Amino acid sequence: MLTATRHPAVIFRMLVVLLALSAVQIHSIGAANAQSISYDSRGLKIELSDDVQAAIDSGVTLTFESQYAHAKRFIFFDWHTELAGHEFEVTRHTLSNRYLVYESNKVEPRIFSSTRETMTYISRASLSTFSKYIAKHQAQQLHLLSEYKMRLRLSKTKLPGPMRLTAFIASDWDLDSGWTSWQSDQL
Amino acid sequence: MAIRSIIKKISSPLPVITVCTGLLFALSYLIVRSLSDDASGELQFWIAIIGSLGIATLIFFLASNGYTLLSQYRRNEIGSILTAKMVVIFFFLTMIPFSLIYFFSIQFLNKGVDSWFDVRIEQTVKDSLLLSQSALEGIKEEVISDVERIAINIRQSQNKPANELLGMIRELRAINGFTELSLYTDDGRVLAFSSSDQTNILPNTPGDEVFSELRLNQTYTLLEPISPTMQQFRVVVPIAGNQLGREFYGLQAIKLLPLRYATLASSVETASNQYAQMVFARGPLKFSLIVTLSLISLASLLFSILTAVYLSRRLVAPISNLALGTQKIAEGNYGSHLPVTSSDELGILTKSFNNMSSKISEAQQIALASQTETEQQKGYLEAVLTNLSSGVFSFDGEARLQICNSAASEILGLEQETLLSKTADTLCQPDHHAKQFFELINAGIKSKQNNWQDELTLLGAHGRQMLIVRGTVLRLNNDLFEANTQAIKPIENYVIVFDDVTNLIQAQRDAAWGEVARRLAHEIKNPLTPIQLSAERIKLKLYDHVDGELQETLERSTRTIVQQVESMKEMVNAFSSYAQPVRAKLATLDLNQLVRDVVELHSSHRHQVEIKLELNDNVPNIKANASALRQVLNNLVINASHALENTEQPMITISTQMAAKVTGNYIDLLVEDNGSGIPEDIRESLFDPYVSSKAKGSGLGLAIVKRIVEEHSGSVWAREGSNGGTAMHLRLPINAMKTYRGNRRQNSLHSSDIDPAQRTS
Repeated sequence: MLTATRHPAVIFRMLVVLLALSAVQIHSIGAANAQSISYDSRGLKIELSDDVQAAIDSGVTLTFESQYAHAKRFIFFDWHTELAGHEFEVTRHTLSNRYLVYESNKVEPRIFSSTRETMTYISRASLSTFSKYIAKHQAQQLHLLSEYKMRLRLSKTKLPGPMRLTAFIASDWDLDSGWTSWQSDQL
Repeated sequence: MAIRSIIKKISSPLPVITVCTGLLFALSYLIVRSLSDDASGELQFWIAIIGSLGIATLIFFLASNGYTLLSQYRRNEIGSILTAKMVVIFFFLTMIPFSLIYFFSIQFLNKGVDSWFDVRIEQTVKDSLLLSQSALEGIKEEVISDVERIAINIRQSQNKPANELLGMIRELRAINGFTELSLYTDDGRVLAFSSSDQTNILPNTPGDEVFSELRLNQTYTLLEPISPTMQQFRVVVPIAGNQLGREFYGLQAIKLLPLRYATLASSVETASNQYAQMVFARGPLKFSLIVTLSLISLASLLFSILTAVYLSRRLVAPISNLALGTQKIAEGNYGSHLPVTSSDELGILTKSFNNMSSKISEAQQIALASQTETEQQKGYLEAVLTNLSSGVFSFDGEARLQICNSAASEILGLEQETLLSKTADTLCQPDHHAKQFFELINAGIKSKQNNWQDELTLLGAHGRQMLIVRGTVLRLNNDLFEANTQAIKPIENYVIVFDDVTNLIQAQRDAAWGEVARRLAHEIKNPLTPIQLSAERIKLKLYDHVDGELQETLERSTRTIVQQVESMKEMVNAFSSYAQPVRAKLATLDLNQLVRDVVELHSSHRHQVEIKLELNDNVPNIKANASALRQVLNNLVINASHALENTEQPMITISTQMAAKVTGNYIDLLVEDNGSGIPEDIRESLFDPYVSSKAKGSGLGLAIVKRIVEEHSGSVWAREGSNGGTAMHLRLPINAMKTYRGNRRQNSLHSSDIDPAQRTS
């Protein structure tokens, strides 16, 4: 009678390797290219790739997410609490050839004539919201002199369905600042 | 063990089928959702991750099964080769249609997606957009014209008081249908403001970029979407400055696009955007669909191969079990039962195999029982044969000795190992003392007689032996041969039984002569004394009453009677002596010394006979009864002396030597005279009692010699001497047993040593 497995050690090693490869793959999918959105002395700088620019010019709605959190280090990991967020939907109005920014807390859109102006507004608005977030928490005396973090990224999951798989795979769509620490007195 | 158990469990078909089913559902969901925008991107992401993990798991299952199969193949495990072949066959059967379907699916997908984008539709969308833009451009021009006309009016009325200017703006806004009309200074301050919404207390101030354009004396116009279905025109016109020092004023008019136009424009905008988005997403869509289709195909292919592996194992398992069972039976492990897992032909085959195995096992048990019984019978037969006093030989159909019991070996003085497995012809060839015996057996076997019997005298290891040999042919039917050839050919075996009857004959002879002696003593010896006494009494009573010749006659007759009675007593005593068996103890004896003693005794009163001794000093001592052998020598010397009475130069030669062909076992003692020899008429019965060539001989001398020699397990015969007389030849064993018959294995004597022509007994 043939048995299914007679070499568990070898097969177990194969299983471990496969799981490790899968974990690496998942991590690579989730990780962002932090170079596309960077911080400098003047604030956030968002550089759209050609694909992203073409997409927005073709009428694809892009959603930028800014997220804020209070960072706590637990052993070797950062534990984010007090999460808050803000969304910017960027779309192009073909008839007027303008770029519209819809924010999650506003009805009327902001109108810009170029993507550069649009991105500048988004960076300013996200930083402004971060300042408010810090001020709010400091006002509540919750986390004085604590470390706050924010990140701004392009949401791939809110892209049109056919584009998501490509966006997950292609690095051109990796627009993410990554979690960056800001002391409360920096802003 | 835990890892082995876990891997064994997860590699079983049920988890694999579960994983495959879930994977196919997930990938199908993924490909469906790839076509729509309303799905949750997070869910889609995790479905893709789960799909990849599922495929990795399938690859793991396939790799583990493939590795296991390869290992089994390398170890030449039963069933692995057939399983591998079936997997390969299933693989190709799957791969060929799968490849075709996959190829055509990719082609169809590409063509299908491309077919969505028709050139005419694209042109129509563009034309619609251009039309909308043209229409809006016309409206925009009208609005601009209206605003510029109002700007001229306001420029002409800029010197009016503020309240009048405000009233004029309100009036112009209302007349022209603007949503809002406002007047700004060059630094952006509001001079006048009118809105159709009474609740709106603040104007919709234009941005800095508007005033930048105004400074260039350019009119700013913008179509602004304020909601998905509402759009408005914002027109800002510069008004040249006046004496108040202002460079210019800005007149801003906001006018809602008429609802009908706004709806149509929004519809065109949406359609145009969607189409542009579709065109842009054509490549990613193809990529997504192809990747998803490839994942589904890969999952299906892996699932098919895994199914092929499991199916092959399931199909091959009964065959492997049958092969293992057959191998066990070939190795002699009967009675193994295989599990019957199905009711199909393989199940029937397995059941038949189990039945066959059971029957073979039963037959083996019967055969073992029969073999055990046969061995018991054989052991019993061997025990019987071992304890038999008769020698038993069994020859097979090729006259090859198969059975030789210990009695046979003991009687013949030959080792069993030297006899077994040899043919009767071969046994006749060696020049040993039993050659005559085996020649007799060989002749009996070749005679093909069912029963035969013969007697034989051998000079065996311990002396002369009388053997009675009986032969029987055993005819056995060979059933196997009969079954194969439909012809009956009996197998002939030969059983030879032989007995050493020397003791028996001697005992019978002893008993007969003992009886004769007893009768003689009773019937003859007893009356002799009264006869002698009566004769002496007659002499005593009558001697004084007669005289002369009568007295002399009485004296002579009485003396004669007494002498004859004494003679008869001596004869009866001699006969008793012959009849009485020798039971004296055997002791080491120097035969040469005994000969010298006897010769010295006779030389003293037999001066007329020359006694010549030719004694071999190398002759070893023998075990014998000295007095008995002394009597033998006396008898032989006396007989020789009597035979030399009429010889001119009488001479007796006594010699001892080792037996010529039986070195070390026998000693020959030769008493030879140069007399007249043995008369022809008594030559055959020379050693029988009462046979004598002498007138006064009792005829018991040589009989006693023969008897004593035979009591010593020796033999005696007479032949013609080298000088024409008689030669009495005695052959005595060196190690004669203490009793008459003992262990015959110690010595052997070739009967061929004795020249048959020289024998007389």
